[in-house]
Amino acid sequence: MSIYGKEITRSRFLKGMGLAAGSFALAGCGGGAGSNANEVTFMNWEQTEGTPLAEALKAFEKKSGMKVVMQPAPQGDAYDTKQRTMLSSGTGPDVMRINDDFVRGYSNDGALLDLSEYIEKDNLDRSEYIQPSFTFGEQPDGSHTAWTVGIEPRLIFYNVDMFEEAGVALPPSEWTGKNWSWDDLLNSARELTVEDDHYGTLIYFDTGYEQTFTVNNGFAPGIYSENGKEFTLSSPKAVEAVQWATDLTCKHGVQPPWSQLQQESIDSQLFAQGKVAMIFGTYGIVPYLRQTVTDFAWDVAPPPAKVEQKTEASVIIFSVPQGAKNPDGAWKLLKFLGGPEAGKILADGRAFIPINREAADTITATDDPPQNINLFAEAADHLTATNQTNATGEARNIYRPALDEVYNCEASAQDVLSSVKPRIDDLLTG
Amino acid sequence: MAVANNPEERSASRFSRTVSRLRSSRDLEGWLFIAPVVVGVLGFQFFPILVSMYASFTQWDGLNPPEFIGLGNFVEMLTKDPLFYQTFVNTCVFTLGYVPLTILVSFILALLCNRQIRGVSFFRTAFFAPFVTNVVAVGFVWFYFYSPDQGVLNGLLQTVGIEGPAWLSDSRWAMPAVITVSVWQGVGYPMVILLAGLQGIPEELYEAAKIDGARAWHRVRNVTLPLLTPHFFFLTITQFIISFQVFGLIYVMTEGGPNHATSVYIYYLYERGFAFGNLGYASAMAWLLFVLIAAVTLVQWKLQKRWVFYE
Repeated sequence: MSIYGKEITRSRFLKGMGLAAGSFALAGCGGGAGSNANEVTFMNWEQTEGTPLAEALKAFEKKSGMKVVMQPAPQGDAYDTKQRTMLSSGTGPDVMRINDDFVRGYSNDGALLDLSEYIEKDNLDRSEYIQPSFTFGEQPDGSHTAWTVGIEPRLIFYNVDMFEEAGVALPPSEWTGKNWSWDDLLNSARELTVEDDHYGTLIYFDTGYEQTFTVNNGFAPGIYSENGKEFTLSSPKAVEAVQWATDLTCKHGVQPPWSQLQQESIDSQLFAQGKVAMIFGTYGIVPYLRQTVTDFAWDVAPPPAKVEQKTEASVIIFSVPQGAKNPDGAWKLLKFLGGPEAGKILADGRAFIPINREAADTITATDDPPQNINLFAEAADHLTATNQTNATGEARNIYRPALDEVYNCEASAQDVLSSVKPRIDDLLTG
Repeated sequence: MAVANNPEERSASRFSRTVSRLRSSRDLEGWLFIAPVVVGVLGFQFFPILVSMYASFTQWDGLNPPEFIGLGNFVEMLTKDPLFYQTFVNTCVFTLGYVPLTILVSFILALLCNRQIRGVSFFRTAFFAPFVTNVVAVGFVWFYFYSPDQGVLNGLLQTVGIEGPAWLSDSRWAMPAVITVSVWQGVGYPMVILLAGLQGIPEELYEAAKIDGARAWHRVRNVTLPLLTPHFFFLTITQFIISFQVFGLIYVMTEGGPNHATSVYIYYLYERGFAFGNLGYASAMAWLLFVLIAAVTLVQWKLQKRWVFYE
């Protein structure tokens, strides 16, 4: 064998291969491309390209002269696994999307950068941001380890045509409990349910209702105590709320059985297919419904009231890992994403409700449904804060599967939630 | 050191040195050839195994340095963690369902595929195909197959007047449903092993049995089964190990639910280690599983003398 006239012997070839393999191995150990002062590495758990977030990132690049380098990431649980692995090995990006369940735990482990110095230095006016979602990142030790960019409040989505066909009064178009209590929702659901065709309501699909309906039943802490050390969903008022939601299926037959809900996003799919008249869903499903629903009118209303009329909001949060290569650049990007300019882009794109109040208030009705879209921005004044714990994910992994028995109408909420409380309390205090 | 003085001895010594050089050169080349594999095995297998062993004696979240806690993880596992026991029992239930059913069904399929009939190659391929199909794809397809309101299975049951259960969300039916899918997907490989065994049985033995008046069932019982015992032994061991490591279908179809009814050992290990960041605990679980599998395999090995027939 010869290359460019030079004879390649077997041993020389082998040595060359060995050197090449060694070089590759060393290159592999060296990690990815390093950040510099003009570059911010960014990791998100969903595709950014083509979304309003990508537009906001481009606006940041244009304004700052910095480059945002996207890091590839898988979706779902695999994202969390990759994130933990990267944090463990100190190869995290400068800015990363983070599951709110993990913020307190990661903060305690010292894995996230404290942003409070940046916040103080830039003298940010906290009142410009939607509370308490903005303060979600604040930890008991005074550090500020997560930065909320937006929120996705939950409201009742309803099929206007079904209401009108059944002759049922529409839910209110403003934040009021007048004629919109739990009983009103149940009565409407009864009238809207048509056997073998569609159900009146669906509110207990995921954890969002647990916090909202518990708080609205007059139990302020919700799922966990304020200090995050106790599981409080087993408290009488909370149990009553869970049982009420479950009874919509088991007792009143106005909600789909739990067995039909074991599929990702099935709540919005059932609503879009006209199989449920009302669902308790987040702002995040608005684009899907706009795209999918063509044969009926739909709108949104606040959650029904009892003692309170609040709602829970999913938070879109990002953090800077401890040891990020460009923390200053990371902060600049986060501050921009939480500011009015990016907020306007995100609001116009209907990605989520921007954390910046001024930008959030620009979300008003257009020709596209829902007509009462302003209720999402107004939800900022009706938010319940989900208390953080060191082990929210693990706690959820204990009580949520246990609730399957309640949802399958085989046990009472009282029995199940009381039985899991000791284990979860141990976990939270441990 | 003795020095060779005459020319013949000097020549022999040179020859010996040359051979030695050549040999060491060949050795070097040999080492270079296997170096990537050796490095791979040492770096990606033995090193992680050692790290995992050390980690099993530590409390380690992957973010901070591991803290040595001795047997703490094992004590917690065996005395304080009800989910550990539940997942262990679930795994045993899965194994008791999966292993016998897989071997039985694959034996029946192997008998059918061993017949000299037209189109038998198609059936062999069809039975083997699920084994090489991606587990995620299989999980998704069966997930919809089992859907209580729109699934094919309940649709078929409804045609004969039976109201099918909510297969994957009913704690009584979820595990049988997962076992069924696992058996469906897993029979291809044992079938091929048993088919090879069947084709290795001398035809004369069957002819002799026929002459002696043995009917089909008697020939299977007295000729086929005894001669396939080495294959059954191999499959019992391998299928047991496979069943104790089941993960993919559970992850895709049920995520351990409902109410942990299908949460098996490896799925729980994954959750503790990677979803909740208890890498020390997960490592301890992995080592306990290793010891358990090794022990059961050893017992099976010892017991083989009682039932495995080697020609």
